[in-house]
Amino acid sequence: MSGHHDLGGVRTDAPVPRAQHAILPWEMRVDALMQLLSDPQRPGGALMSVDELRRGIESLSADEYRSLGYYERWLQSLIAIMTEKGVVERAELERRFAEVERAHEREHAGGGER
Amino acid sequence: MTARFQLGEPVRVVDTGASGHVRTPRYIRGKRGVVERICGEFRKPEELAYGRYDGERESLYRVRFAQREVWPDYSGPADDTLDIEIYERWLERSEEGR
Repeated sequence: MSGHHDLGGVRTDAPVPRAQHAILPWEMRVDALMQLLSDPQRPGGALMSVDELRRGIESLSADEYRSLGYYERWLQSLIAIMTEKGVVERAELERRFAEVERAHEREHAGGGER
Repeated sequence: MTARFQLGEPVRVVDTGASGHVRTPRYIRGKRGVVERICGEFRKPEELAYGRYDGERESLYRVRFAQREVWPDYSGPADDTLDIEIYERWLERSEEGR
């Protein structure tokens, strides 16, 4: 009855990486986004709860769950919950992703070729 | 609603068969421990997870387990323990704590 996220006590022969890594700026942003969306003090009240974040993470497919990093799972869950509630539309997000990607490519190409 | 279990009371974690979003990890189901503290009453994660923020509250306990109860092949000191916060519905009285 447990999902693939419920890993405590599961035996594995795979190595368990114990090294820490620095938290990247985008990861901090995802964390901040979650804090803002779940803040009961925000005008209009919290848009989601930490329990919804967890449910969204646990709803990822086993493959997605395994292949995504910690904050990538958070981000996928935030998108799922916010689109489920109609706060944002997926198409709107996709458009914005594409814009940001193009801007990044322009910047990158400009800097690299000169 | 008052807490059904008392401080220091031996309890066992039952497997409620609940699916969906739950906060009781698989490895602790069926294990015996003792109530280390009564945390108070909180809304149910199963409901909060689906956007119902105004549901009923349920007693939450911090339950202490011997590591050797949780992991039969545990090789650390015998008095090592593990604390987990568990909602009342997942607990039943147990004759012995460990």
